[in-house]
Formats: sequence, structure tokens, C-alpha cells
Amino acid sequence: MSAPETGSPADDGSVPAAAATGTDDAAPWQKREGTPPASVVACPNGPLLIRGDFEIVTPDGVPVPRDRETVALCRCGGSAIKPYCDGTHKLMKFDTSRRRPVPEPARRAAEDAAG
Amino acid sequence: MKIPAPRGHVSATLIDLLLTRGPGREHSYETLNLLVDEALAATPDLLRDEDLQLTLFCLYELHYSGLDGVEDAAEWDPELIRVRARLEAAFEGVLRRTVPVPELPSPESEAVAKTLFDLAADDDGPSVSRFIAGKASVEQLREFLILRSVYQLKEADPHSWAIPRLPVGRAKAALIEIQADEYGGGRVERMHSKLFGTTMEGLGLDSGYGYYIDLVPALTLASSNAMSLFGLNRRLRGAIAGHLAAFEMTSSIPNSFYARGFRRHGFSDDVTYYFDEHVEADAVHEQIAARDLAGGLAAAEPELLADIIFGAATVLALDALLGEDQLRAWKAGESALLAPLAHGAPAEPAVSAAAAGATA
Repeated sequence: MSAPETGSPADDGSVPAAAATGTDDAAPWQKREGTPPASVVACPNGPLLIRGDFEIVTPDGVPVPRDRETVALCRCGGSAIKPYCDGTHKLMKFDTSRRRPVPEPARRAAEDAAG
Repeated sequence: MKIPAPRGHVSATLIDLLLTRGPGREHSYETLNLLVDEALAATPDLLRDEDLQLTLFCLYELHYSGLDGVEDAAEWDPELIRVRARLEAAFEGVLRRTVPVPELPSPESEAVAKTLFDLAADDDGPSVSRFIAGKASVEQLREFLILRSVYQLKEADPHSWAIPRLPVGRAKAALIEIQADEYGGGRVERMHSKLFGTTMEGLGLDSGYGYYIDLVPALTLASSNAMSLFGLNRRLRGAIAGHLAAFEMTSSIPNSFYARGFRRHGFSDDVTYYFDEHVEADAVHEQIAARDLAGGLAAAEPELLADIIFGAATVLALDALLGEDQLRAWKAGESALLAPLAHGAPAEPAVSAAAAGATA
């Protein structure tokens, strides 16, 4: 990592500052200029399809192994390879058009909260 | 690819002609044309006609990896294109007459996607994947890989013909997104055809393209030929788009069954990786293929709608026939290949069929 720095003719004192600015500046555009922000397609009766600039991490911030640019995230709960989709929604007849009826007290509370 | 062993007068004449092309062979083309016409008129089942499907397969192969010892220029030999067109017309005719097609949706993305998902869900053909998961012997797993290798060792290639044939827009972007993933997203070691080779090698098989061609029955060649027919003819670009969509939509769940079958026999993750990868990849691809590729193309070129659905229905119809043939053979303790695989030795066509039943 530090090999190029040692060969540098620059004086020792300036190195940490220069290195720090370098990483700060480099990070944003090294993410491949032009990658659009993430977009999520909610596929009817299927997964959430995610494209663009995004990262999938565990609650501790550890990246989840990812092998492709565009991924499909399980939304039916049945996948054996979560967080990714494995097509199980088709066997479950997962239906995104069905809405669970909201119980009356909960709906009133929500309406009150909304003003 | 190596030159396959001929399976009748037509393929023998074609192969002889391919190897000896040049001035003074005009009468050989005439002979070939006559033989093709006679064979087409006489065949009771073009889809299972060994001689004619192999002939078409060889003609198509000139557009892919070529055939050993045959000049690359043979690809655009007008006389050979003429022969190919005759076979294609008959082949397409059979598919159009026999493939059941559902009622056409409106040419809008979501309506097309729904029709395709319903079509794939209604598929109640014989389940090779369940047999592989629960019952197949190691020998049957090998046969399964050999049958699949005809396409899988050139995975994605037939659909790539469609790229320059789709209009700039949603469908083309979708096809590129899928194909880039099929070819490994820039990483050779993740290329699907390469992964399939690793799986074959894990079962002691040769992963050279076309190595087992002489063991592969006509119907499997027909399934590959259908992709080439749709891919190589611009007028059928709707059919190749629908074909890819149905392909992707009937993949992720069967692949999880295939992986289970190989794990049942103790094969390592390296061997099952091809199938594991397809469970995840095709769950992504099917969404893109249904809505953006097939649906997007129908919206952009509504006159292609019928062919999009026809191409998808062709996948299901041919898969059902293939599954029937394979399961019938395996359940009877027979080989699903033209001849059983000789252990350890290079594949020999149709000679030592006697030892077959005993191994299963």
C-alpha cells in the first residue's frame, strides 16, 4: 500500500495529510462515474429488483456476498437463498395485489395521527 | 467442433460435401438438395429425425464454432444457405403446427409478462428436475449433463444473435443486461458455459464442445436447432426474445432440484455451483426477460407479439417432449442417449448398446 509513497520525493511531514485528502477525494468518483443511484423495481407477484449504485450489508455493516450488478431480493419470504430471490414466490402463488385488511382501531389511530 | 458421425444419407452427403468443397462439386449440391427434399417428404417426425436434425445442426454449427476441417468460408456458401433454408422452412412449419400457443395478450409489458408467467406456471410436463433431485443414478446424472451440454457449452450464444436485431430501447437494454451476466459479467471464471464445463469435469466427463455429439438424440439437437432458427433469422427476432424469456422463467426452480440431485450423490459445491448460480441468476433474469425484453419488445414492435409468445411456447413444448423421452428411458433402466456412455473411454456411437441396461 505504502510503496509508492516511500519513493516519493515529497518531504515526510506532508504525507499523512496528502494521503488522507487523496482517499477522501478518490472515494466518490471511484465508485464508477455515471452509475445511477439505486432504483428498485417492485415486480408484481415477485421480488424487488435493484439496479444502480447500492450496497447490501448485514446489520453490522458487513457486505453480503454479491455476484451480480442487478439483484432480485426475496419479498415473499420463501427463498432458500435470502436475501436473494430463488423463484419460490411462483410455487407459493405469492400475490402482491392482495392487501391484508387493516383492523378498524388501527386505521382510526393512523388517520388521527395523520391529522 | 469435431465432425459428427453421419446418421443417414443426407448428413453423410453434407459432411462429405463440407470436407471436399470446391470447383467441380456442383452435382453434389444437387444430390444434397434432392436428398433433403426426399427425406423431408418421407419423415414421419421431423423433430426426432436423426439424419435431418443432425444435418441442420451441422449447417448451424458453421455459424458458431465451425466444424473441424471445414473452411470458415463454408458459413456463407449460398448453396448451403439454400439447403439450410429448406430444412428451416420445414422445421418452422412443424413447430408452428404443433406448439400450443395461448391467447395473445395486449402488446403491453405487464400483460405480456403475465401471459408468459402463466404459461410457464401451467407447464405440467414430466419433471426431469424432480427425477434428478430424488432418483437419478450417477450414470443418469452423466447422461443428463451430456444432453444439456449441446446448449450449455455454448450457453447464451444463440440468443446473442438477437442483440443487433432489436431496436434501440428497453428490450435491447434488457437483453444486454441478461447476456452480460450469462457471460460472467467480465469474469471468465463466472461465464456460465465455463461453469457447466467444470460440472461436467467433476463427473469425469470431457467438457470439450461437441465431444459427445454422436450420443445425443435428434430431439435434443432439435431443441438447439430451434434456438438457432429463431436467433439467426431477423424476421424471427420476436421468437428468440420469447424463447429466452421462457428459458429463464423455467430455470431457477428446476436448477435448485438439479443441485439437490448432485449433492445427494456427494458431489461438491464446485460441481453444483453451476446449478446454484442459476437459481439466483435466473430469478433475476426471468423478471427482466419477461417485462423488459419480451414485454418491451411487444410494446415497441406490436407486430412481433404473436412470435414472442410462439417462441416462449416452443421452449415449453420441446422441453415437455424431451422430458418424456428422457424419463421413459431412465424409468425403463435404459440410456437416454443414442448409446450408453462407455466408462472412461471416449464416446463411441451406437456400438456397445448391450451393456446399457445392467448399469442402471
